[in-house]
Amino acid sequence: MSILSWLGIRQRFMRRSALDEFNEFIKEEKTLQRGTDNHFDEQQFDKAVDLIRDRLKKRGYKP
Amino acid sequence: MILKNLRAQNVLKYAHLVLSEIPEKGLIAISGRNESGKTAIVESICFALFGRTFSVPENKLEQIIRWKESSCQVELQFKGRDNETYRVERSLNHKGTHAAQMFRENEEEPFVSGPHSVNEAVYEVCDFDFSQYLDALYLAQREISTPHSQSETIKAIAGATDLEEILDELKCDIEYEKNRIHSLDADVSETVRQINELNISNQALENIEQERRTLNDRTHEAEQAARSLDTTADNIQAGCSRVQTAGKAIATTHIDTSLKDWTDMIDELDSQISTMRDSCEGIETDSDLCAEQSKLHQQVTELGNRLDAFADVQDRMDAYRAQLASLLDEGDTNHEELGTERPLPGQQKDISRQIRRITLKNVACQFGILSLTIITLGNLFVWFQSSTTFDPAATEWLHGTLDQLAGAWSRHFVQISHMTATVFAIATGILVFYSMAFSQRIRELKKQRDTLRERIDDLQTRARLIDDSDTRPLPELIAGLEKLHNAGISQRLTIFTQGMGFPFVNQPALTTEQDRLLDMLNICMNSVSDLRESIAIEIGRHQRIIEESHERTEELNAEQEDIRQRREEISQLREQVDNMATRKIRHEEHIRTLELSRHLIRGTCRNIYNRFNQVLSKYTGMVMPKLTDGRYKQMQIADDLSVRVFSQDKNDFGELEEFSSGTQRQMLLAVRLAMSKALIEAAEQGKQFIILDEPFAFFDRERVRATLDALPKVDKNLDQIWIITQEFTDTKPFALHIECSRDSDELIIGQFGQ
Repeated sequence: MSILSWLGIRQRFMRRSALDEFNEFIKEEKTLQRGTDNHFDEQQFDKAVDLIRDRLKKRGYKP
Repeated sequence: MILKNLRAQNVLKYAHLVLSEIPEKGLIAISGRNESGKTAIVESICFALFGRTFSVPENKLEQIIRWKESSCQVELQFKGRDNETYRVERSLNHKGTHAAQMFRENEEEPFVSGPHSVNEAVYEVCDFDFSQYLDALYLAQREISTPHSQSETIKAIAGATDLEEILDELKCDIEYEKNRIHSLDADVSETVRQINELNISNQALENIEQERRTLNDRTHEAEQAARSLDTTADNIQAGCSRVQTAGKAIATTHIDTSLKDWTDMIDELDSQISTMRDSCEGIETDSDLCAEQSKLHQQVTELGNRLDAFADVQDRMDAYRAQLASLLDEGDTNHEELGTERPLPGQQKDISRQIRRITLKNVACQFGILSLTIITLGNLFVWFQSSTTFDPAATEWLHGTLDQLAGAWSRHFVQISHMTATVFAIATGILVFYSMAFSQRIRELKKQRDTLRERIDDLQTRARLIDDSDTRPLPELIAGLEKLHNAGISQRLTIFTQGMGFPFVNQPALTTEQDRLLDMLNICMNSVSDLRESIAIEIGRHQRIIEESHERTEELNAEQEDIRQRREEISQLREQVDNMATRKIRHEEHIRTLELSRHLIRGTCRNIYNRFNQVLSKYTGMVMPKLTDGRYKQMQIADDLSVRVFSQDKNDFGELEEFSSGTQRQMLLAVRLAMSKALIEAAEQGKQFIILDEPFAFFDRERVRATLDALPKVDKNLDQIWIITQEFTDTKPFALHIECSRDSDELIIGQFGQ
């Protein structure tokens, strides 16, 4: 119980890099989209990802 | 961030406000009646940190200057998240001039100056801005409510600000792209409209081509007609000159002109008239010159007819000439068919032949005469020598010779010599007679021959007259013909000379005819001038047609050029439409990329907010039991930050509205405190202050007490908690209690800044 309480206390809100959050999401999303029956336009997906990464890069995020 | 000292001058209510040595940990109470200056203290802090306040609009910032004062100053010393102490000084005058400086501890010179730079420096050392401060660290008076899910503070705390801003940028980009597409659609519509306006049917071009061909044909025909008329005019002019020449040749010819020359001249004139008339075939004219029976032509025809009347004479002459030919044995004429005597040359030959034959006979006779005479004389000699002894020697020689020649017959020969002499003499006489007869006959024949020769010469002269009838002057010919004494010829000649042929044998009559001809030629000359004038008019008409055709052709060329330019323009416009369609496709493609980007960002943000809400729910669940004395422990915060609380009485989560107002305020205060905790942790603030302005409006005494007990335990970093209320029944929990008075414009606690 004390261990769980300690873990609960230690569960602090750690703000992560938006680029990291985004990379994590697109990794999951890409895997998800590839697994669906819908036609997945990977080229356009990559283009959209590059666009966002470029915008984030302009805001000082480093890959 | 922990506030350490505050000094303000002429800010809102206070002429002087000094808060020194503010406790870095624990509850700080600010109490006082209404309008006693409680909120003015936290507004001064807010102005010092961010250059603006919650209650005064930014564009009317000078309203924070104390009434009747021209400027205000504020100085705040605080400890940043880097645990360093900073000091911010700001001043503002009634003109709105705002100055700010920021100092590090124990430094006299500011490390940043200017409101904007100072605001950035404050953000650097605090990691929150004015809006985050308001949403998370400053709970304004009676403004306890759930934060809006889209608030900038939530985004900032959760770390989604940049993504949200990019999301907005992408939205703007999409709007921009849509506007571009809309603009392109409008441009395409306008361009298509221009194309439709410029568009021309192929029929128009075909009509122009057709009209151009027609004009070309018309021009060609007119040019040909003009050239033809010009040529015709020249031909007529030249023809007229030749007619004049031929006509004047007739008009000036003397009467001593041969029939052939007359005929040639009249034929030449007739031919030239015909040629000139033929030249008129290309034109329509009523000129006498081009008429089939012009007066000149009639005149010439009349002359020709007059001359042709000689044909009767000619016929007779020809018949007579045939007789002459027969007599002269010319050609293949047969005198038996013509009933004439034998040809005179033949007769002449026969006579000559007779003469030669008779002459030959005569010569033979004369030779015989001579021979017989010699023989007779010889016999006479022999007889004489033999009958006389006159010369015995000669007689001896004779006998000897005869013996040698005749032998035994010599004697007999001498005996009959006188007889043979006589016989031969008689024979000689006979031959002489014949010779004389032959000579007479020869003389007669020669006379006949001479007569025939004279006749032949006469006939040849007549024949030459007839043969040369064409080249002999006509009067001379007629005179010669009259001398032929041929009845037929003379009769026809009389008819001719007294009738049709009179002008050709009579000089006055000829002169009259020549004068008439000259008149006709002058008329012809004048007619040619008139005709040329009318032809010139006709040529002018054709020239006008040509000029009109050229003008129309120029117009058609201009129209065609216009059509060509319009087509080129249409081609360019269509190319523009294609380009715009391509650009539209690119924009649409880009929109799809942007929307997909937005989808990806929204998904990322959703993940961030979900995680943030989970943490916030957990923090709220940790804070809320402390505020509600353990009555409510579990709380759910949805994506839109709507709050649901687990009620033990209900044994289920209930909506916030299902609870009492006081409980709602406690729960929402718990959410605010959880957000403050989240902000502190997210910003890795370390120690942090929080200001709660009138947080206990609907709290009962127990809950106030419980809240005051719970607040220092909410978070270990939330050390300095400012609580503003009108009065506190118990001041024990507070590390500092600031009491404000409505009657004083000064509040001085401690010696900061003195």
